[in-house]
Amino acid sequence: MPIRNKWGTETPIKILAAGIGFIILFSCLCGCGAPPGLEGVKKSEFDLTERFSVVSPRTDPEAREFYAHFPVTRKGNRKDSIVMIAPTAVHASLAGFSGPVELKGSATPVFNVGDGIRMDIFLRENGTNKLIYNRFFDAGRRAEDRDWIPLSVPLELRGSADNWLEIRISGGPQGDQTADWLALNAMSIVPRK
Amino acid sequence: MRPSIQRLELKQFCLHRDLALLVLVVVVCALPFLDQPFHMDDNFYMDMARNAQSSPLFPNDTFYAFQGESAPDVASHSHPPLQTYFLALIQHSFGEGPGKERIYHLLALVYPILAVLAFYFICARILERPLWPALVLACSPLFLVMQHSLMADIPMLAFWLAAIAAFLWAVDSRRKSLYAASALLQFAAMFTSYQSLALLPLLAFFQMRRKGRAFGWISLAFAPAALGAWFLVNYMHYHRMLLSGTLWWMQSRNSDSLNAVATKLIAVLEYQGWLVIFPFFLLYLYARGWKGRLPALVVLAATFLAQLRIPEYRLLEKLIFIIGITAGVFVVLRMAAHFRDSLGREDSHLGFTPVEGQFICLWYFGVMVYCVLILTEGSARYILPSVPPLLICFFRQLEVAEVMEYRKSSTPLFNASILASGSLVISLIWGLALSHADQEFARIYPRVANEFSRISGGRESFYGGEWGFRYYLSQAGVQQLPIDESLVSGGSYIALPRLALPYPVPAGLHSMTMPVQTLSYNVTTPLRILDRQTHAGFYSTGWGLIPFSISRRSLEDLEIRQVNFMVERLPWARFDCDSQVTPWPGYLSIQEVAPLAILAKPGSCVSYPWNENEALALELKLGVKMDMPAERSGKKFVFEISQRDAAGKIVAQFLKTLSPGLSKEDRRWQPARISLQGLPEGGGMLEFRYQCDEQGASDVGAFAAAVLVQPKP
Repeated sequence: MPIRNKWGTETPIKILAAGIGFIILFSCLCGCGAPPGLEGVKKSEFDLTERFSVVSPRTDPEAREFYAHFPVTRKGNRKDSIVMIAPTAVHASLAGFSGPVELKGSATPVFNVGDGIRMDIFLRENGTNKLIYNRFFDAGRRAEDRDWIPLSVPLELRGSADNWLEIRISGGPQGDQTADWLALNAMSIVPRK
Repeated sequence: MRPSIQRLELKQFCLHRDLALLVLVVVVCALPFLDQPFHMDDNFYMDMARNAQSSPLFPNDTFYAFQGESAPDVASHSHPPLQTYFLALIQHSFGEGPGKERIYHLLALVYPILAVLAFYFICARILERPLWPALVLACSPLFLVMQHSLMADIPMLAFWLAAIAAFLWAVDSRRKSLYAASALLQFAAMFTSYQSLALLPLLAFFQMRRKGRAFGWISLAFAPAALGAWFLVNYMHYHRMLLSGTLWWMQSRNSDSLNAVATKLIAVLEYQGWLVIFPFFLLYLYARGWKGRLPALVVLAATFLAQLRIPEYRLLEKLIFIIGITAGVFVVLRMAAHFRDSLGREDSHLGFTPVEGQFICLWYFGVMVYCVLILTEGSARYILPSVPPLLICFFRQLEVAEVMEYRKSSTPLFNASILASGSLVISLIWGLALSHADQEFARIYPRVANEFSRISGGRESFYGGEWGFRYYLSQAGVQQLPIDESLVSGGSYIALPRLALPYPVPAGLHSMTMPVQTLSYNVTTPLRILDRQTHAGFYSTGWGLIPFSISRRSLEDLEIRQVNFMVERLPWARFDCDSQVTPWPGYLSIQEVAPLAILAKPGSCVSYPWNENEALALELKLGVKMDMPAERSGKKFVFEISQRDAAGKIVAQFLKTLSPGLSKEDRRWQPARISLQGLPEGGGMLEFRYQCDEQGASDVGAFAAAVLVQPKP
């Protein structure tokens, strides 16, 4: 026996409503809750990542010396990093910061070969450079350098508009610049208590 | 005059004969593929099934690393665990091991059989000849390829179709038992795959429009309520809403961007065009309109799209793309026309009542919408639930055409019966060819596991890939590349595939590895269903926009690397050097060849602790880079490699003197090989000494490309 439609008038709107309801229900069921694992930057920290730029770019446009967002993994910790290729220097303006602060972040050589990388961090105030931190990274010969190394440098800033942070990296003692890539992660300025 | 459907009672069909024939077809089509190795994401379900045996309530509560990333648990995986439980039962009963794949595939045949039988009952409700679409479903390329896997797609389709069949017949017969059966099957479908939640509005629509019994609403509420209860139990266990993690993963794939949506839409059209019924039959039946101008227009648009979207594809690949898009577009246009018809007050051109027509089109377009807008990428298996409504309309069209032909004085060359039987036979042949290609692809990975095990010779080794690659290498005792790369020690082997989702090896570890061997794997068939080089993307649009391709090149490559133990172990070595410069890892270029090496100044000695139990051979290259042009020097450089036991006694030694100034040959890399003895008692040392006969020389010497291999018999 034929099956007859007993509802009566068909309207496209009802069909469309059913279709839209179908999509909304599915989307809602998929969409409840907040995404996990997204770590926010603490409000008290100021991330310098986007402020860094190369001090004096190389003339050869093919020669990269700086990658702004480069994933680097050490001991399973994958971090979005600034990667500097020796010899190079980057700087970031510290305009707007004053008082006792701390430069925080972490660093690691990207590769485990080469004769090491030297990193010098300068604070430039009113045209004069002051070395505030230096470290020699040697992932080829030192096991502890095959990990993220926390950096913590106390600074006393005077609030000058001409304050700059400059990071220079250079090759190791043998002058072998093979694989002299240094990764810096979450370089930020934190108020010091 | 509109054709009407002759409504038949079930008893009017040759029910037992039809059902027996369908089961026979499914089984016969599956027989050649029963021993197919586990493939694609089968491996994931097998891993979870293993865990289900120790943690049955929460089978996905286990640390899991995938593609080089890890998660503390995989409860937010895109599929709930019904298929995991099914596999856990088989694992518990039969175990795992070589040759046992056929047990899994044989028992998993219950799903395609259920799907085809349930579809028969749906078709029996609305078509005059339900056997044909059910047979074509069993023989369609997409269904054939997917039924040889252990993933959740065919089980979901089976439960989905069974739930619909039971519900439709429940509404007609108003039998409570059928409503209850449908409720259970809906839950099974939803507990297999979240996409099955789409059944809820679909069946509710039918229940509402057909004014089914009140019990129908209860049966519809059961599955979401049971799933909700399961979510609640999981919330209490994991302290999070499971779907929040699923959503986060979906968002991380950026699947809602305009480009991603366009890709998925193209993929859906391609898959429908090529993988349901062979495209000739779709085009012959559907590619009409505007006196032949519409097909020309669609082909032109598809050609333009090919040039715009895939200019880098080869001509043949573009042709596959154009045919797929054209057939897919006409399928969608025809389904849209059916939908428009169903909105009228009268029965549609196909003879469906408005409610039936709307139900079929809502089913079809609902699946299309979630495939394009919600799922993360295009994959042929995702469109499986849209295949049944497409087949219903295709065969109803043939039934109508048959009535029309009967009234005409002459019969066309391709009449309805030829199109029906042709679509069945050609689709079956096409499906078997693609299934064979998939099987050959799957068979690569057991070969990979065998050959890699032979090369690594029992040394510590790691894999960095997924799918069958992961499964069979795990079965061979190879470890997964750990998330903490510092756990990989010198001398270990690493196996990386080219196709099977190779892990990104962290740069620090990668810089210490050296290529040992690359193996290529070819298959006999030129058909490819997943190949990045030729853009075949049956399983995912991440590989390409066409569902298959044709190629004679190797399908998979295996890259075998070894972690250079001299470089990896250097921080734990002892240095004894005349100069302040201790040896360091780097590259020394001699005659434009620069292998990874330990570089040293003359008068350097590096001593590594050596505790290997078994005898090994160390193969390496030795070379000197002179500070000044070699011709002007008479310096002699001595390379000495010594193995000492715990008492300090030399048990193996190799000596080589190079005079690059005197011998042209010595300006090249010099091969060296030393047979190292096993030291079960431990405490041994391996010394590398580099010296020069001239005091104060600073010419760098290199111990390069050091590889530990099995000793020659």
